[in-house]
Amino acid sequence: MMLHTQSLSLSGEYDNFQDEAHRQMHTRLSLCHEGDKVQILKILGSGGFKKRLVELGLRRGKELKVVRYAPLKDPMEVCIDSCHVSLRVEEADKIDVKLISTKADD
Amino acid sequence: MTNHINKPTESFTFALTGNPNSGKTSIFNGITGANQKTGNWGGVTVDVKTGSIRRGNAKLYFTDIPGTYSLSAYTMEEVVARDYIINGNTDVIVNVVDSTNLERNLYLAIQLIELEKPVVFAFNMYDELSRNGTQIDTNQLGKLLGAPISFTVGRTGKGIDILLDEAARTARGEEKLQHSILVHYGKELESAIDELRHLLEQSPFESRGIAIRWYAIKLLEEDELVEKQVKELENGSRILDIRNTHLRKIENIYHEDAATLISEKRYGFIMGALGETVKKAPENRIDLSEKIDSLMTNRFLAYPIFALFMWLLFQATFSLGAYPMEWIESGVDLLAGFVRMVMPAGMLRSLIADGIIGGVGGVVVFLPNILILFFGISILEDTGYMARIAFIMDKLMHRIGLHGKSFIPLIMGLGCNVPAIMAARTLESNKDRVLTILIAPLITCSARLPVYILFAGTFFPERAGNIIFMLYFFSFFFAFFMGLIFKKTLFRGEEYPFVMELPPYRVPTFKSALIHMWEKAKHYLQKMGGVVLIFSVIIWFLSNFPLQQERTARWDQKIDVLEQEIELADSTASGESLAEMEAQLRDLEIQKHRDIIKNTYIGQTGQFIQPVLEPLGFDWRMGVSLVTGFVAKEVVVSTLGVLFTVGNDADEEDEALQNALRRAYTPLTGLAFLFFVMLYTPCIVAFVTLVREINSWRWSLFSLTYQILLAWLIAFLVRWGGILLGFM
Repeated sequence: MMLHTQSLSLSGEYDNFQDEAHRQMHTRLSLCHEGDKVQILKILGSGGFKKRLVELGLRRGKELKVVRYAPLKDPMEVCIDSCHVSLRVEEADKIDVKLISTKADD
Repeated sequence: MTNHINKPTESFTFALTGNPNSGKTSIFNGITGANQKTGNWGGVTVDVKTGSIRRGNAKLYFTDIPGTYSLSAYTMEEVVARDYIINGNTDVIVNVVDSTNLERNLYLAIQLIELEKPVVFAFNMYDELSRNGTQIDTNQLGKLLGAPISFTVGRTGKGIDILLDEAARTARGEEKLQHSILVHYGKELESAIDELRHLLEQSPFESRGIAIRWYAIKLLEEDELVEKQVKELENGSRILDIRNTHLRKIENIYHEDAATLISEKRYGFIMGALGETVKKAPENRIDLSEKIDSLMTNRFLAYPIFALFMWLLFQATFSLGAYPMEWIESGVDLLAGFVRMVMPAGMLRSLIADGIIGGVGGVVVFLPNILILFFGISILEDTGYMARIAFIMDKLMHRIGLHGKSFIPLIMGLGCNVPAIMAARTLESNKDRVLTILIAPLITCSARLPVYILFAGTFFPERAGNIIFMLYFFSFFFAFFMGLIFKKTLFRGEEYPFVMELPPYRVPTFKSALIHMWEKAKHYLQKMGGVVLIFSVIIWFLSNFPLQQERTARWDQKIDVLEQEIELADSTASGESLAEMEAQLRDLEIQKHRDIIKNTYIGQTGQFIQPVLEPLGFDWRMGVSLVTGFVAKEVVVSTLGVLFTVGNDADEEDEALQNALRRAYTPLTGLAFLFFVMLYTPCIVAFVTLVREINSWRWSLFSLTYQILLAWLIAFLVRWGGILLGFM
């Protein structure tokens, strides 16, 4: 997923389009950038993964902020109610979110 | 404090539970002090600590169970925690709650209350909460939850007295707050819960004093453990069928599974209760943790900082630890010497001095390492940095199916595999722990270095440094490579989610680090003592039997003759010939040693396995030295010294030994031998530790076998690869 987006942003024009789409669309948490604020729409996947997220407070309707990616770009760190949670990018790929604001908006 | 001699008239048991990082353990330490006992629950290597305190006429027993976020159990520790809450005979559950994160912490609280067992809440870290001006109406919130709430500050011990009073009162049944059904899950879910509850009530279902309603809810959450329990009932499959019908119906209506709906209802209740009772201060605090993290997990600085901490931990464990290690060693030597002095020569003396004292001394000697390592680890954990290590190392470790935290045991392995294997305890999931323990022994420990120095110096004097570096590189390579193979073959299937909390940084308390360290040390000594004692006696037996009195006598006679000659010659002969005779005497002594060791069981084993080692180009002397290497890897060097008749006290820089080795083997054989030593089972103590920690004979034997096979295979490839490439 990540690789795909990066390869698209090779052309500048496409990049703008991507950014616009990124703003408008409902997206996946795994595609969000550092500093993005998002709202959780739905958690895909099942069983243990989903329950663990809920236990840590990640659930439908909650707002969270992407704090940073680890130095090797995986896992990522998000902040929810002043509580910091780290999850792998492949796991974040199972979380549908709506983008509220990006770093540039602050 | 309690000077009364009268016996306590009543006793109660309490289970201390709460989210990880809620300060549960500091509350436990605050209540019981160092008066604790660590035991295992249900035969797994998860520690369950108990401690007690006297209060008035009552004796209060506390059990500190592993931290958990909810009662849906995934990791081994969570299973233990839940098992203890459900099956342990506790009078009252004491739930430690992080006051600064009530929403998430109360998620566990609600599930505890749904058990309909007495619960007492300790709202911990209250100081942090009041500092930012937040107020909680605990009276009202306690009424809503149906359980009393007291404020505590685990770090300072504030509020613990009141908590204890509250807990004792609740245990006596004097608490007036009434349990009621907290969360109403909505029409469809409630009717499903009702039907399942009726069905369970009608069947002979063992609820162990827990509300049947709780089990019904768990069934709708598709909890595997409860499903298993229900399946065993006579009408179990019917109950599950009915459950499935409900699940389908609910999913059709809400387009969401029941477990998610249940969790949302719980959070709904929490939000409602908190909205009524908590006056939140405007969010204006500067997140100090966030500041620290922007440094600690910074793109460029993260790894240098991590490397620095690892270097410090490593140096403290092994360099600082070397001093007390030396003291212990000389203490053990002194004791053995004393035994040799007071006891008459003979088998018994040898057994006690060499076998028992030597063997057990070999275990005690690791104690400083373990103490320092665990002191360091507990500081890493208490500060919250451990979670950051997992965060920055996960990408790398995940490739071989491991958790980011697995990196620490592997690094510790460079010093000694014994603490390395023990450090794998920090891993929550059993799969990660077993996999880490399986590959940790492949990391070159410091005891293997003398062998490396000897062989690299002997056969590759110009490139010794490069060869040794290459060996270290390969030992990590093989650890990762085997990890990858095991992941693809033995540990396939669903992976445990990585999702974890990055707790805020906290200043560790010295006391808790000390208690932690002491516990590990006690554990290590208790568990290892017995087993290593037995192994020491066995090894002693193998290296001393069969008795070779005749052979010894023959050698001793020769030595006696020569000694007498020297004595006679002392006055007459020239200095030169005297020196020559003394050299002869030394030679004889070594030959005696060699002859005897060759015929002991350990020597026989070495010779017996020689055909197996033949394809590697190893002779019987290498075979014997490898067998004795099970005692400790550095023994390989001294055994070779004996077998090559250079002397018992040969070390890795002994020139005579180097020359003898050069004459006996080709550099290629030397290299193959190095790889073999690098990969085969580290030593008895490491193996016993492994058996204890992995807690399964199957895995232990597997570990032993795969390492030896791997060592053989790689040595074989090195030798024959070399021959084919024309290095012979």
